[in-house]
Amino acid sequence: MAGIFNTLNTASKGMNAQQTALHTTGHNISNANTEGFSRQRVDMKADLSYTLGGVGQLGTGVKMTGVSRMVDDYVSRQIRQETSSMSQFGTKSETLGQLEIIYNEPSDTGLNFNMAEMFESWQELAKNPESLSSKTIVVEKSNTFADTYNHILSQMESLQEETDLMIDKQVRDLNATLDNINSLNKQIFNIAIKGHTPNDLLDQRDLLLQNMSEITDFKAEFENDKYGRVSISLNGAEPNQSVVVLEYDSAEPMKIAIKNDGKIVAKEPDIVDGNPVIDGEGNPTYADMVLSLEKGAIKGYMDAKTEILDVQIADLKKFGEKVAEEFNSAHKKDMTATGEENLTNAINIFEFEGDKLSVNKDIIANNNLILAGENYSSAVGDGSRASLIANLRDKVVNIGGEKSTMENKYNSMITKLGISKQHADNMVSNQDVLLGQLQMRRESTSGVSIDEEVTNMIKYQKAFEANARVIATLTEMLDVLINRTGV
Amino acid sequence: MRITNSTLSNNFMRNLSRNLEQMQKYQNQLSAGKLVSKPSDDPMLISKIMDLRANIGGNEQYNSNISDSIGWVETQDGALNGATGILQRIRELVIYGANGSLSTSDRGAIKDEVMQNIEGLKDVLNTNFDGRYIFGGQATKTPPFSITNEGELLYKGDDINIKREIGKQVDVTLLTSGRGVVGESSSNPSDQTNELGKLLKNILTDLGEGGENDKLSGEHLENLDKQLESVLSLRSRIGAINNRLEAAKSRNEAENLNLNTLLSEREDIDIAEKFMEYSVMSTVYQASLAVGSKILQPGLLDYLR
Repeated sequence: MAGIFNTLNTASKGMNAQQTALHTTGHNISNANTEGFSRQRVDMKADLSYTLGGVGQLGTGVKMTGVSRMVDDYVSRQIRQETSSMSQFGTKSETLGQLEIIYNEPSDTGLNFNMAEMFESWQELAKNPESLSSKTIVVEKSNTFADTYNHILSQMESLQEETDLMIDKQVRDLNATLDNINSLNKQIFNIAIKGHTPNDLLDQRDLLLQNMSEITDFKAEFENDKYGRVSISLNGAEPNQSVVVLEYDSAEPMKIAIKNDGKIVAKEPDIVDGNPVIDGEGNPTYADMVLSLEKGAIKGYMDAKTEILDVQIADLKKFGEKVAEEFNSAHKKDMTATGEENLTNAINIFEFEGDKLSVNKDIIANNNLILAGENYSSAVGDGSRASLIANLRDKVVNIGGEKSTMENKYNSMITKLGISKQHADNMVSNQDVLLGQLQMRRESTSGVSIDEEVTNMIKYQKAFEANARVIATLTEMLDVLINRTGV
Repeated sequence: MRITNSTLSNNFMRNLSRNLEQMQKYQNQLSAGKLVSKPSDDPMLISKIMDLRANIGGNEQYNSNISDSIGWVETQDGALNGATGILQRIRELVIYGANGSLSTSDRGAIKDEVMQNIEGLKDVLNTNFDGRYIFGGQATKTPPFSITNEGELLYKGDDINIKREIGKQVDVTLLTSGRGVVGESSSNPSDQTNELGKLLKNILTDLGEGGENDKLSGEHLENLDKQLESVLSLRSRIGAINNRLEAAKSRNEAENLNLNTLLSEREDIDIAEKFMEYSVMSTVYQASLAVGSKILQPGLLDYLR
């Protein structure tokens, strides 16, 4: 026969378990909108039974075996991967978008328009070579062109610096995240070694990993450690090389740094015979492991910079130099000579110095120095040189190995930028859809459903009440036994 | 698949923001009237648009060159018309002056009138267009013709004609050299004397006292006819240039229309079509808002009392 106290114990365990489950339900509900939170569940099983002679196995109630969190590690890993791609193209598109704003094309204020106006002012001068005001217009239009050119170039250069700063900031974020993950590893170990599962710490760690995947792609490994600590490795520059920047049991992660040549390296401490090598000033020495990050914001910024920004700045400089050269040589050349001889006293229209384009100061001071005719002593109605310069518009020139007219060269730069930006935009919207689906899958496993939790709440409440009723009943039975039996 | 409240609200937000993004795109297009505003909207289209705009700009410049040239040749034509009239009047006076029965004073009066006509001829040849002398070659800022005290018409301009660009690699030469009107008397370009001036001076001399009257009806009349003819032939050449310019102008304008049509086809929106698309999108957006307000509200808690 089962003793009454034994049953009392079973009911008390039941109340305990239901209350604990209700507590976890409350925890879930209060974290319903917490980023990275995974819903938790109290695992229960029937407690060990014992054999009652002649009757059989008697249960002893419920036993709580632990609190588990509902996660799909595979989906988490996929989310991390796709987040890296998303953030790579997102940052690239953002940077190129700024470049688009700098170019401001097509518009009535962009360089393309200024250049057209400049050519047209030379046509006008060819038509009115005797008019000083036509020359003034040529000077003003040339000035506007040079100003716009310098403005675009300097804005592009500051965008370049800004992008470098952004890369720098991302690298610092990466280091901070690695530090955080490392300290979480330690906390996880402290709890796990006591045999518990640190659910909320694991959630925090997963969230950090997801945040880190925005910065760069990486490989996270959990398999090496039975306590669930993570090791993180980044892609090395060598083929198939992976650099473990955070070992699950290491004291601290390797520092990630940017070298002067723009390469990103992990600083691996030099170790000899298990001891760190110290240099003359008492600091530990490091070996640089060159990394090659393939996705993430750092890669996005670097792509925008090396594929477009750096190239376009170089192209724009070559373009400006070429424009100056073509206008100057057309303005200076001896039109009667067959070769490339220059007139005596010939002067430049543009100066191109230190990557800055400007109109010759002498010409600004005296607009009459603009030469419309063959030379300074030709008749006032001679507009042949102005006409020659106006025709530079259709001249095919060689700019950095590419043969095209000056206007086409500039247009092709805009087109290239447009294509890159469009590609990045398309990738972002694709990744957005993909990531949306993955997040839905994650949500379907880990998300807190209020309806479900409320249902559970009622379930546990009723079970709690029923267990309490069992105790009440047992109390009545004891009352019968103690106070009424044999009285 | 397990669906939670967040699944619904996330999905809703994602769709809503996608709809809103489309709305923004249509609104941009409708308010700007342009299909594309940034290179990344459609890189190839933007490149085409930029090319077309440059072409149109160039074309408009050529159009202005052509109009200016037409004004120039029309002024030349008018001036030559005047010059022809004056030369014809001089011819009449020469025939009249050749009459042997005239007295010296009668001839003096005729000589005075010829003198006046030479002045008139100078004035008409010194006509300017937009402040530029039309028969001075490239020396457009100084009056090309002048008259000496002896009544000789001198030409101080040069003999270089002016070129105008009226299309890509297409030039037209305006016959601005005054030599075309008055001829030259030597191969030296700085020699200001000329055939017509010399002839008129000789006519004046022979109309004067002690002049050789008989030359008037002979040699001079013959030479005057030659001069008249060369002016007329210059006028017809200028007329031909005018025709060419008119043809170029209508070609240019047709091309301009073409280019503008091409640009408009690529760049401009079809307002009716776009507005329809916008209306559809707007309906979709409002529907998603309405549905959102319905699906996001109810939960189990609404029914537990």
